[in-house]
Amino acid sequence: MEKNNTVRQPNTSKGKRPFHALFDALPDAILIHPLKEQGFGRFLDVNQAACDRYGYSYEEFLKLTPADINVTGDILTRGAPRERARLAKAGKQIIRTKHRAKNGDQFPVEINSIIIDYQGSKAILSVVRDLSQREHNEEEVRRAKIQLEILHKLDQAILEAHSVAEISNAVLKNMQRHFPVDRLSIAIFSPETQEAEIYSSGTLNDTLGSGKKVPLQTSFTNLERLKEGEIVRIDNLEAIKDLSDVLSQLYKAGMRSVVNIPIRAHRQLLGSFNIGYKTPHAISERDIRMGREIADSIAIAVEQAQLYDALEQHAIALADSLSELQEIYHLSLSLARAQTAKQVAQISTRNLFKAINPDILLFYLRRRQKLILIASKANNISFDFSAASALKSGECLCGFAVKSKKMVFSENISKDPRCTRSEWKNSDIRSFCALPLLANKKVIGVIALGSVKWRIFANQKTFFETLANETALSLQNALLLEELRRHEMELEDRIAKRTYELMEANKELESFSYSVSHDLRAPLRAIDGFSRILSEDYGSQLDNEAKRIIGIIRKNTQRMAQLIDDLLSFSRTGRQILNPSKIDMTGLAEAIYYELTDEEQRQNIEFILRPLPKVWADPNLMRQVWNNLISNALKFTKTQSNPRIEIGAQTKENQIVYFIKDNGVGFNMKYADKLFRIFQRLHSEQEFEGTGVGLSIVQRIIRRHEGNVWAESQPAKGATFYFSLPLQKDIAS
Amino acid sequence: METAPLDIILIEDNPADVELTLRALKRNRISNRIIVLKDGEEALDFFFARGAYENRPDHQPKLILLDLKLPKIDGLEVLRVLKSDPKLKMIPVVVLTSSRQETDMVKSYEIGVNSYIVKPVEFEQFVQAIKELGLYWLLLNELPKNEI
Repeated sequence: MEKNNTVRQPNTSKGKRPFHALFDALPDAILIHPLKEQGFGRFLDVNQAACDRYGYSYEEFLKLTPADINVTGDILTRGAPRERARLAKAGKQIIRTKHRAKNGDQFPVEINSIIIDYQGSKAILSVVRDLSQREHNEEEVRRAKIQLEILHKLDQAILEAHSVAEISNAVLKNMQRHFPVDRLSIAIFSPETQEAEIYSSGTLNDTLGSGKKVPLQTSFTNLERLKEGEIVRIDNLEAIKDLSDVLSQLYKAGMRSVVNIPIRAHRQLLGSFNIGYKTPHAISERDIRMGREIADSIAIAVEQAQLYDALEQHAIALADSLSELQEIYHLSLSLARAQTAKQVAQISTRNLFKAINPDILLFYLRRRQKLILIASKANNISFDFSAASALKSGECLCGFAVKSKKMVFSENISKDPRCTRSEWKNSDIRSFCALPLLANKKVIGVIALGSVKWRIFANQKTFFETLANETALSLQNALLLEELRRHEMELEDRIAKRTYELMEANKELESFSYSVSHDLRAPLRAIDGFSRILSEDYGSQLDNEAKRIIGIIRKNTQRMAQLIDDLLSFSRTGRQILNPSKIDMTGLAEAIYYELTDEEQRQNIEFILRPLPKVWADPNLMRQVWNNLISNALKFTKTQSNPRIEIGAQTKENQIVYFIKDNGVGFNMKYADKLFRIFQRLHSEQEFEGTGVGLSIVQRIIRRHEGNVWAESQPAKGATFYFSLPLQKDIAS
Repeated sequence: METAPLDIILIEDNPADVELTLRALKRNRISNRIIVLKDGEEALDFFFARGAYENRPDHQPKLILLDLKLPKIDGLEVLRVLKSDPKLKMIPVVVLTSSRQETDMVKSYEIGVNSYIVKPVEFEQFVQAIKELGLYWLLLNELPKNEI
């Protein structure tokens, strides 16, 4: 082997070398230096390729040692003795290391070394192959692979992630492993709130990460450029005087070069993908290329996620309105049970508290110029309820609701000049809402809601309006019902009072008629009795005229007694309590006819009794009716040679009309209205006896049975008396 | 003081009625001794032998004629007292009244009156009523002797 490797004694001039042309034609650099036990010797010879690659002239090269071109410790430097021993033993060796050219460029090399005899001494011949091109290609493949992998992961993240935060974290987690930079972060911009949400990864324990929000304008000073799709690159933070808040934080975290790559979709700036290095000027074109691709992928993902978010928001809104509808339904269902304003207030308070979930809810009823607290519910907060128990109807925020007839919202009552009540000002309540309860365009109550935390009640305006309307409707009904009940009770009171008065009057009347019945008759009895005694004991001393006069006295006392009896009977029929039952009118009329007549009379009278409908009435009083009417008919037909009495009835729509017709003396219709008045008589006492009370009693009884009584007649052609009673179909038939 | 047995007690405040009743009794030849008491209080004093009647003989009457409308204590109250006394309740009581009030009649019978007569205005009828009453209660209706 050594023989094969023996070359000719070299000269110091290139031209004198053996195989000199071949040596120089080789594309790989060839370096020859002496094999020494310690240290390096200067290069003995190099070929043209070596000069080209390293940038030294042949002469310059020969003044160098391997340590001058080597970057790291290896066979030619620190590890040299051991390696050289190995090389000496094996005769050849292949190693990889990094060399430096004259201009400072470093490049990877593969060194193929053999031991040769060089002019009698042992030397090392190294064929140096420049690997940088190859390594570059390999690196490209590796990066492409990573890129693919990242993109694949991103795609997965798109599918799996439901929020921007999740996407950001997924991207960062995956890239951290493959992207050797000092800091990666994703900022998502929100145009509504003018904030950027930052997600970061990296070994850095910096203060900007995992969802931290920073103001957009001041943190991203080159926002306009980002919007245009430009990257914003700072190669040396050290060189910038006024660092923004975010940049100064990055600086403190050790960053020296940073770049923001815009994340854009449909020309809209969604955010930025940011890379940071601890060294200045560390950002490479490759970083930017890669960053752009990642930013594009994030853009798609974020866009998707935002769409997904929007969809979810819609779903939530839908669920919200569904639950709102449910709450409204529950409220109206519960309110249907309420009878009083107080109950409405309690039910509404309970339901609204559950539906709206405030920290306090006060239910005010409007009474003239005041708002009266009638129901409330609150979480465990400090609030002076007794101070809030009544307000003037124009006062404070609730008063505004009364005056404006509109909802009043206040996001912070402590700073709201409209809020004037100290119990509110001094409470923990921050956000407030007053709902007017409107009925017929009038405010009949106010519901006040408060929240300790900041809350925009106005967001739920429509929902609140519906709840308030439902409550107002029920409240109005309850108030009307209460008023109705109050009137009813007033009426009942009045009736009770009247009834009592009537009963008192009735009692008085009763004791009056009692006295009449006792006291008016006693003197009559005395007049009659002593007249009798007079004629009995002194009859012999009296002439006929005196006896006739005594007769007149006695006759009149008896008549007076009859009047008293009839009067009492008449007054009794007015006061007596009706005790109705089913009456067989045909049987009753017949029985009375038989009571009032004897056999002889009946033979003379033509009596026609037609079937009469049954009726629901007081039997004793009906007996008096028939008794009076039949005895009247008998009385006024007494003078007829062929007396005729007919009794019958007609059923009309809702009443039965009974009649009794006679062919007696009759009466002139112009006196018909006097017929039923008490003590009114149309005939003289000589013609027909009677007190003029009978028909009054009939009228009174029939009227008490909700019927009517009347008569038709012509003098000398008889009379017909009618009385009507309400028809009860089930009884009449 | 009287020692002979009292037969009829008439409790009546109206002197005209007293006279007419006495005359009617006389006309019917009812010759029992009659004592007239003017009001409810006097009647109760008499029956319970107190006040003015503290020392009256211990005989109880055969019949009591009682008007309902009396001064001081009314007839129904007198009747109630008489009928709730174990000894006195055995004496027949006939209510003689001007009143045709049914309630009076019902109440009287509820308390335990033995007969009830509405005094007619006409004297002849009155005489007739007294006659029937005297016959029945004084002659026909024998009381269980041991209880008097």
